[in-house]
Parts: sequence; C-alpha cells; structure tokens
Amino acid sequence: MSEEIIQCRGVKKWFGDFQALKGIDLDVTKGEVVVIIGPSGSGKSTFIRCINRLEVHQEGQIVVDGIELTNDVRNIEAIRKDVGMVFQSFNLFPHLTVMDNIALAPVWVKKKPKQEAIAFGRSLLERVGIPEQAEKYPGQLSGGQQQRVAIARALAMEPKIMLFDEPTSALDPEMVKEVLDAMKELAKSGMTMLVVTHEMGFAREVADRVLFFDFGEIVEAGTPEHFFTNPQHDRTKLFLSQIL
Amino acid sequence: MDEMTSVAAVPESPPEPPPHGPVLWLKNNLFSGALNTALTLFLTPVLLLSIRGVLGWAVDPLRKWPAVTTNARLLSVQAYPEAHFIRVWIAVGIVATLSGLSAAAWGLGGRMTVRRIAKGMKVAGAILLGVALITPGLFTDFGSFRLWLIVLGAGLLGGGLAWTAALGMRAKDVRIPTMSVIGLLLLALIGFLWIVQLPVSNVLVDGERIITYEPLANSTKLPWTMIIVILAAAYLIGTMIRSAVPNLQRILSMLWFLSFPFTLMIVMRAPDIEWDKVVAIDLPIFLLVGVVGSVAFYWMGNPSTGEAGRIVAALWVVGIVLWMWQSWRVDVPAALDFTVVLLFKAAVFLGALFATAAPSFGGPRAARLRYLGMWWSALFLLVVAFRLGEARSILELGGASFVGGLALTFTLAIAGIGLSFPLGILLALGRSSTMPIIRTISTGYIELVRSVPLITWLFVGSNLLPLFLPAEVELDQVVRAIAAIALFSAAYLAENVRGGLQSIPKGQYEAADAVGMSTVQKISLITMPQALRAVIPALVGQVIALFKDTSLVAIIGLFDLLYIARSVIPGQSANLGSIMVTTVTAAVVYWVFTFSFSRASMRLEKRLGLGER
Amino acid sequence: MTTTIQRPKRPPVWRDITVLKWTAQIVFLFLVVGLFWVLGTEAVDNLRAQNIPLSTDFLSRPVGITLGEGFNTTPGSGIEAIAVGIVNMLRVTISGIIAATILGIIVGVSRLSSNWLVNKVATGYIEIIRNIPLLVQIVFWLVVVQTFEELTVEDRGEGLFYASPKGFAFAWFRPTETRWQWVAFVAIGLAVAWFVYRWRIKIQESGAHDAHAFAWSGGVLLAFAVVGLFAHPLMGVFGWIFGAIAWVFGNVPLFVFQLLLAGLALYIGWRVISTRLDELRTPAGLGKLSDDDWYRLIMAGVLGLAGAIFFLVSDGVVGNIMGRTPLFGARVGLEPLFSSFADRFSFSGGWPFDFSPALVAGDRFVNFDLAAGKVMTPAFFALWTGVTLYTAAFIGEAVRAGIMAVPRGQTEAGLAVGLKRGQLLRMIVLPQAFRIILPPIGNQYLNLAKNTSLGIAVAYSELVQVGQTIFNQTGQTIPVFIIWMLWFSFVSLSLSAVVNAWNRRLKLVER
Repeated sequence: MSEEIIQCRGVKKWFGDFQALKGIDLDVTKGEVVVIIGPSGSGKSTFIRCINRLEVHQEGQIVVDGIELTNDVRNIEAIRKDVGMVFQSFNLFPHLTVMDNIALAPVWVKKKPKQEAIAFGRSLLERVGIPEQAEKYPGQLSGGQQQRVAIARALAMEPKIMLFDEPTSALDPEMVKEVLDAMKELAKSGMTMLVVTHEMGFAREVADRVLFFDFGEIVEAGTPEHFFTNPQHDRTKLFLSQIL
Repeated sequence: MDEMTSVAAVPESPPEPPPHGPVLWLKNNLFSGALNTALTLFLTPVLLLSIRGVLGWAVDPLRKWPAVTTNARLLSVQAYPEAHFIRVWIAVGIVATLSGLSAAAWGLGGRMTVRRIAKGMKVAGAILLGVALITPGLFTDFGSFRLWLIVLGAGLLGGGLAWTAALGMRAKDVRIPTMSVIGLLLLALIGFLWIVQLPVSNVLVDGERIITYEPLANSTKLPWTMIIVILAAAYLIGTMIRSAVPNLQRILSMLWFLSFPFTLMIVMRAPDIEWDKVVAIDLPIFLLVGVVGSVAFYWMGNPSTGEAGRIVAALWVVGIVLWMWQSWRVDVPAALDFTVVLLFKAAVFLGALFATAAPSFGGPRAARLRYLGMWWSALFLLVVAFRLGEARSILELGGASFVGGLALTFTLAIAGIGLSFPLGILLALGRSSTMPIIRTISTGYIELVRSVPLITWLFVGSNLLPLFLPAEVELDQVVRAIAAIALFSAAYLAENVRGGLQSIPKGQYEAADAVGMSTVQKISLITMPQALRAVIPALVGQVIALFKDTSLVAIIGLFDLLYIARSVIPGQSANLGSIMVTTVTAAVVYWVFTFSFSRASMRLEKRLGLGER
Repeated sequence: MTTTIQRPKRPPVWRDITVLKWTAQIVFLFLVVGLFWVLGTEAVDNLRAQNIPLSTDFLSRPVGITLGEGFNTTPGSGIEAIAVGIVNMLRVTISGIIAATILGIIVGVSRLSSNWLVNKVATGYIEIIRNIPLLVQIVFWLVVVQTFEELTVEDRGEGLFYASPKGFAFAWFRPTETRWQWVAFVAIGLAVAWFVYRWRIKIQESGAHDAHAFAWSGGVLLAFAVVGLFAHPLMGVFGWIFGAIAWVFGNVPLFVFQLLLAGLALYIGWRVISTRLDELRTPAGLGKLSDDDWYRLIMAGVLGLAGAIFFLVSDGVVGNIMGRTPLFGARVGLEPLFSSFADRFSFSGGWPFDFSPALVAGDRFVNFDLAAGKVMTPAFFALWTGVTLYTAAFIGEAVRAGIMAVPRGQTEAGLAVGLKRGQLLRMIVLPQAFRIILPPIGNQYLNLAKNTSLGIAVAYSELVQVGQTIFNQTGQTIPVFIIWMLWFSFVSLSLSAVVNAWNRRLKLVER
C-alpha cells in the first residue's frame, strides 16, 4: 500500500454560524492528483486552504506528511514549507520583479544562498515556459503568464504537495491552456496535487480521483471515468448537467 | 472584405483645427450666459482695485521693509555667531551638492517644448507689466523700480511672442532640455545678486532714521554665488558619473539620510567632544556590546538553532526593559558617570531589537555576516549620536537652542518627521494587528493624541516632560518640542499608513503565509513596502502639515521664524511698528516652501500614477 | 484502507501559537502599565521635591485671574474660569463652523465654475490660505486690527458700526429675557415643519402634481417664527415641566438613582454580550469563539460590572451628577441644569429681541450694557477670522472633490430621463456628492474645534489659554492637562458621533 501524505478525519469549520465544512474525511497518497469540483460556496476552497492552515479548522484532524496541524508554531512553519499553493487571483507581489517573487521565499524562509535560489528560479521559469520574463514586474505580464509565475513561485520552495485554488478561473479563455499545460507537466512529474477547478477536461485527463463537494461535504468520489460517465448521486448529476 | 478596401480607398480629408481665438475664449470663459457675464463685470473691477490696493500698500513709503532686509540673517538663523558663519555655508553647500547630484542621478527634468517655455515667458512678462501699470503712487521710491519692471516685462513678453511667432506650428514640437532653462535662470539669479540694491535703515545719533540703498554685502553674495556654482557643478558631475556608479541612487539616499544629523549636530552645532570620555566610556561599551551581540546574533541566525534563539531574544527584551525601570528608580552609584549607564542601557536595548529580528534575517553564513554588519553600523551610529548629543557646543549662545529662525523651523520639521515615521509605522501595525490588547492600546494612543490639539502636546513637552524624567536628565527645550511634535505626528502618520495597509489585498498576506514567511518577514518584505508606496501622497501631505505646525513652537517661546518676526524685530528701536511687514514676510516665506512642496508632491503623484500597475 | 491517526498531542507551551500570542500581549500590557507607573511615581516625587503636591484644590478656590473676555471676566474659582474658557471656545467653534461652511461651499462651487475669473479667484484663495500656517494668519489678523485708527472723542455717541484697535462695535439685536420662550416656540415650529414636509412629499408621491414640499415647510416655520414673537408666553409651560424634572432630580432619594444607573450599566454590558453572542452562535455551541470574540465579551462584561459597582459604591459621584453635592464648589449636575432651564421660561410677554446700536463713550466702546450692541474683541476677531478662512479653504476643496466624484454617467443618465438642471442637481448630484463630502467636512469641523486652541497666541480666553494662566498661578500642570484632554476628547467624540450617525443614515438611504 502506498504512503498517505495527507490524512483528514472529520474536519469541520464554521464561519460565524455558517458551517463551511461538515466533517471531511480524506486520504491522499503520494503522487496522487485529486481534483475537487463543486458549486461555488460548497466549501472546496475552504478545505484546501485548511490543508496549509490559511484557514484554521475547528474540529477534526489534518495530518500532512506526518505532521499534524495544531497550534504548534513549529508544525505550521514546517507544513508551509512542504505545501505550495497557487491562488485564483495569482497574488504575486506587485512591487517585486518576477525573479524576486520566486527567489524571495527560498532566500528568506529556506535560507538558501541567493545565487542558488536565482539559478533554481531560472530553471523553474524555463519549466513553466517563460524564462524571458524574469526581470519584468507582474503588472507587465498577461494573466496566464502571471499564473505560471505563481506556480514557479510555489515550486521554488520544493514542496511535496501543491494546492491549486481555481487557478484558471480569473483567466481569459485563451490563456487557460498555457496554465493547464504547466499543471499537466507537473502532474506527470509525480507531484502530489489537490486541484479545485471547473476545468472538467483537465479533471478527466489528469486526475487520479475526482471529489464532488456540496454543502460542505464530499458527496461523491471516484475515478474520473466513473465520475463523469456514471455519477451515482442526484446532486452530482444535477451539477454535471448544469456545467457540461 | 471588398467593402472595406473600397472604404479605405476614399481619400481622407485633412483634420480641421478646432475653432479657437481670443474672442471665442472670452465668450466661452467669461461671457457664457447672463450670470457669468454679470459675475465677470462685477469681479473684474473688484479684483483690479484689490490688487492695486495690496500693491499700493506694499510700496507705500510708510512700510518699514528695511526691517526685513536688515534682519534677514536674524530671520534665518537667529543669533548664530558671525565668526562661525562658514558652518552655515558648509551646511547649505552640502545640501546643494546632494541636490545637484540627485537631480542628475534621478534624471530629473527631461525636455520642455518651446511653446511651454514661451508661454511661461509671456505670462511672467504680462504679470510684471501688469504690476508696473496697476501699482499706485507714480512719484515715490518705486519710480525707478517701475521702469525696470516695464523693461523686463516687455522684454519677456516680446521675447516669448517673437519666439513662438518664429517657430510657428513647430513650437510644440521643438524641445529644449529643462536643465538648460534652469541653468539660465540660475545665471540670471547670480547676476541679480550682484546688481540688486536693498534698503537698509540707519539710525543716526539723534534718533532719526534714514534709509539708504546698498548692494548686498560681499559676505552674502559671494557665498550664494558659490552655492549656485556648486549646485550646477554637482549636477554636471552627477551626469558624468551616473553611468559609472550603478548604485548612485541608493548611495545618495543614504547620504541624504545621514546629511541632516551630520549638518545639524557636527557642522552647525560644533560639538566640543571630550575625547577622554570617548576612549574611557564609548569605546569599551561599543566593543563589549558589539562583540556579545555579534556572537549572539550569529548563533540565533543559524537556521538550526530553532526556537531557542527566539526564547533568548524574548528574555533579552524583557530583561533590558525590567532593568531600565529598575535603575530609573534607583540612584546611580556615584562612582559611575550617569551617562555610562544610559549609554550602556541604550546599546543593550538596541541589541534586544536586533535579537528579535535575528531569526528572521539570519540564514547561511553570508546572510548572517550581513546582519552583523548592520548591527555594527547601527551600534556605531547610536554611540556617535549619544556622544554628540551629550557634548556641549563650542559656540557660546544664549537662548533655548544654538540655532533659530528659519533654520529652527526646518530642524523641527525634519527631526519631527524622521522620528515620527518609525513610531507611526509601529502604531499602524499595532492598530491593524489581530492581537486585541495591542490593538486596543495602539488605537487608544492614536485616538487620544489626535483628539487633542498640538499646542497642548507642546505644553506637555515643555511643562510636563521634565516632571516625568529623572532629575539628572536635562533636556533642551528644542528637544522637548521635537519629542512632542514627533509623538503627535506619529498618530497621524499611523492613520495614513494604516490606510495603506488596508488597501493591500488579503491575497498578499495569504501568498506570503503560503510560502511560509514569518510575521516580521511578511511585514518588512511584502506588506509595508506596498502600503507605504500606496500612501505617498497622504504622507507628503502630512509632512507639509507638520512643517506648518512647527510655527506653534512660537507659543511656547522658541525663537522660530514666526516668533522672531512677530516680537524681536518690531522690538528693535529702529524698527518699531514694523510688525505688519515682518508678519507678512514670514507668511510669504512659509507660503513659498509649502506651495512648492505641494506642487512637487502633485508631480510625484502623477509620476507614480503613470508607473507600475 | 484508512489508517488511523493517533490522538493529537498538545504542543509544548512555548510553541503553542495561542499561548505565545497571549503571553506577548500580556507582557506588552505589563510594559505599558509599568511605563505609566514609573512616569507617575517620578512625577509625584519631582512635584514633592518642588513642594507643589498634586491637588485639585484650585478648582474650588479663588484663583485670582482676570480673563480677556467671557460671561465672567473675574471668575471666583478655578472651575468657573474653566467654564468661561469652555464657553469662549464653543463661541468661536460654533460661529466658525457656520461661517466656514457657507464660505467653503461658495469657494468649492466657484472652483467648478465655468467662469474663468471666478474659478481663478477661488483657486487663488485656496492656494494662498492653505499654504500659510494658521497661526501666522491669526497673528496677521490681529496685527491688521491693531493698525486701525484709535477712536477719538468725536466718535462719541451711537452708531451702526465702529472699528478701532480695540476691536469692532456694531448694532445688534440684543436678546431679552423672553428669548428662550421664542426659541422654544420656533423649535416646535421646526418639528411641525418637518412633519408638514413629510406629508407634502407623500402627497407628491401619490399624485402627479408638484406638492411644493420645501415651500410648505418653510412657510410653516416662518409662520411659527412670526407668531412666536407674540405667542411665546405660552411656552411658560416649559418652566413648569423643567421645574418638575429638577424637583425629581433634587428630591428623590439618591439610592434610587444609584440603583438606576447601576442597572443601566449592567444592562448595557449584557446587551453588548448578548447581541455579540447571537451573532456568533453556531450549531456546535459557543466553543468556536475566536480570541478576539472572547476579549470583547470579557471586556464588555467587566466594564458593565465595574460601572455598576462604581455607581453603587460612590454615592458622591452620583450626587455630583444629580447636583446634590457641589463639584469643586460649583453647583453643577442635572438638578441645577434643569432649574436653570426652568428659570428661562415664564408667562411674561415682550419682544424677544431689542435692536441696540453700538455705543461709544469717551474713546472706548460700551460693552455689556443692556442698551448697547455687540462688541467684538481683536482677539476674537483674529481667531475667528483665521480659523474660518482657513477651514473654509479645506471645506471648499472637499466640496469640489465631492461634486467631481459623482460620476459623469449619473448626470447623463439624469438628463436622459428628462430631468431639468435644477432637479438634476437637487435629486441626483447633490445627494451623492453630500455622501462623499460629509466625512471630510466632519473632519474639518473637528480640526476647527482643535484649532481654536491657537487663541492662546492672541490672548483669547479659551480653554487652553485659561488653563495656562491657571497653572502659571498654581503650578498644577497635571490636573490642567487632564482637564484639557477630557474636554477635547469629549468634543472629538461627540463631533465624530454626530458625523458617524449622519453617515450611517445616508448609507441606509443608499440601500
């Protein structure tokens, strides 16, 4: 049996009196690509944000790479170094160049020598296909390029897990493909990925497992084949009929 | 496809110039409609008469303008001894050098169109002619002056008109480097310095007052000429070394930062440093604290040290604070100089601040060594500042401070801003923190300070602060005023900075969190640089407000520009009753500086708006 | 296939983020409190060394100072002097706010005028006034008055207006004793006018014709003002009402009020807690409160309880509030307040205002004579002119920015649906502009109130100047500073409360 890198047990989370997560149980094995879909407000973003503790879950347990997410400062630091995240709205640092965006965290957080961090950053930019943009500012790039920089920034920390929070939702249609290509390449390289997305084509092609979230619960889970051709649950069917 | 080509084939008619001309302009801007016509007809005579009234007041022989010209030195530096005047010129020279170099380093100026220059000439000429024609009193002293005005005004107006006429439509395309225009103006200024004659009032033995017109003294025009030459030379040198020195902008920023304390404390104040104390006290403390700190920070900055470093840093902070209180209350042993303990505590406190940030800025050997470099330079600056502050001045001066007048106004403003900045940033962070107690305390401070007027805080500084300090510490009145201004201004700056912090999208914090940055790193690398950039206009506005607010120190009896203008000069026997003239002069001086600051900030704002994002 | 996870271990204390956060805050609080403690003890020691023990005696004792102007220029005690200072400060503040608002709106609108001359004059005004320190301007206006020609014996007599280095004298409608009755009458008229306005608006909304709501309510108000000149003795009823209220505060046993106030404190605390809890209640109970929530709940509870205990224990303070026991020798509190209200109303008739000319006797103005008009001192004139012109420049900028901030599309949309220019301005542009303008203008009012403290530079007897005179006499700096802070904080808080309340109303309208 393969190694489980993320384990969640009964994860619950409230915003005021609104319950966003109603007890999520999930295990992700190393190298697995899990795609999470669901209507907006279903708690899917909240869930993956709990995994690197951008949101604090209130009940249940989350263990990432053998480290449990608790109030322990050391654990939070360790997990943030292991888990990379890509946001819907890129969240690049607008006052820094692309290369500084990428090299900042390795230098300051991982304490890597600067030259090394820059060299590695250059290789990452090549990997996502924009080596020539290193000295530009984020505001000078297109949305697709910015999102690829964001992927490179997350990879610069050499994470074991990558979280994607609707990475293509804020993009113009013609730029979606370049970002998805970068993600596919990443998936092929054996990275463990949790992807919240509305790109069903990506889910079908790349995912090892698809989860359907609704009202803070995992309604249905399965392989993409099973999921798209033979959904079991009424809510899943309804959702798929609306978006496909 | 075919249609489009056929459309494009039709020849385009040349664009017609939009309707323009003076008559149309008058119709659109002054006589568009009954109400506007009535307003124009009413306002024109009122305006002309008021301007005539003001000008007539100014040139009236009853006005005692010599009170200003004779006392120009008093207004600018109060009673600074004449023997040491070279110090003032060195200070001005430093500022001129840095200004010239900076103008070159930042590539200020660019090019101006001939049309704009000519327009400037025409407007200036028209204003001069207008002043010459409107001013009443044809046969007073003003007579010869009026002739000069007419000649100069007509020359400028005619020159401007001729230039545009010669170039025609090309006037808006031909460009001239701005710096050459400024250079010409400076040349004109030098010429003006050498030919102008100013009224001087002489009191004769029997008490009669006689006004004579004299050229500027050599001790005025020579230094100013040199300053202008230095300014130009610095600019030229700057343009030459600009490409050779890659970090020129950063170096200049640093020099600007250091220039204020340097000119104020060393050049102007001329401290009488007791070198035996430097050897016996400063050096040992510097070395001891420096070495202990270096060892500690080298260890703390090592990534493998982990939390132990942070715990030591926390203990360090708590320890020094406790110790500061304890010995504030307990008398210092007589064997020890009071200053020894004070300096030692300040150094250890600085070390505590460095200790808390050490884990965040540590890392591999190179990073830690760089951090140690910062530590040694900060410690060095602290010790130097302490010794300079403690030393007495060579200059034998009465009064609250070694410098007064306009120089004091600038000292208060620059020192106030410099000190309130760090405090304001800390308060802004405190108020936007998620920790409720810290937020409550910061909010309380900000709101209390902002709800009470500055003059009460100045009274707190001058009357209350001495009560709160141990009897051994004697603070200069100026230092107390600076403290009050800085503490006051910090609350306002904090609100501006907080506005900047609020404008930063939540995603920036999350992105910084997601790559594992600590709170200190998040603030200093990500949020604060962006927040400060976002509120530059508000910050400049705050600086201008603070500059104006410094005039309040006149109320607590400091000899700033306003105080001298209002009470010292009118008190001189030769200048009795000149208070109106001197007050107006002070107002004009304040106005010139404030207006140019605000114009500069508007230009800066425009430039920032065009920049990133 | 799921593997079990062992139960979580609590992290060690020094790594628990919650523990760390709270420890840091408590340490910080401890440092701040400690700092104040050190400063306080040092001050007490220093004062003892200077032989000026801290005391508030000067408030109830004669302080022997003479003030430049005010309702009582030779106050009998410190607290009376301070009251004069506060009233003088309010005189400048209120009249300054009114004048600065009017002038500021004119300037702001002129800045947007299409008339080049008007526009430039307004711009020139703003650029000159804004860039000169207010203090310099105040000094300038004082100097201007001082250059006027002295009065001579020829000026003796009555007139409409005089100017001299001692200030200005002008004819004025001097209020008589019955003015408060008339004011009360007009206040009632204002309320009635408001209802009339609402009623006409309703008619306009139901029918198609214009109901002239403004004209109607204005007419009603005018009618009340005119009728009130004769009918004001009717308001004598208020004398009875206020008298009865004063009797209640003066004679009902004190412990009743203590209980009431304590109950009020507890109620407010409980209200805050319960509304907060209602907002936070989750299906899983109350275990999900954040640190911040806990802090607020506990603070509300503690403050409410402390307030209640305070009122129950300290009957002296409650006695002060009710006016039973004098505060620093002065009769203040609710009972004297309402009896003074009661004294202002009677059933007697007569004009509420008398027209009085300015009087010059010898070479000076006659002031505080029942038959004389008003006299404006040079200090008042300088301070008032200074703050008014200065604030008006900033208000003008706020007005201009507010009108400019209304998007062009709004005007175009209004024109497109066929509104006339006047309607467009009244119904579309001004309401939106007002919402943007209000907060900065509120801020400017606050600045004006604070800037009145510059009156000290021209020896105008406002609170700061009076305070400075007092501590120069008595050496009691700390109590005077506390009084300053309390007063200015009070002014700031009440002004911002008014602005906030208004702002909230406007925001509600928006939804």
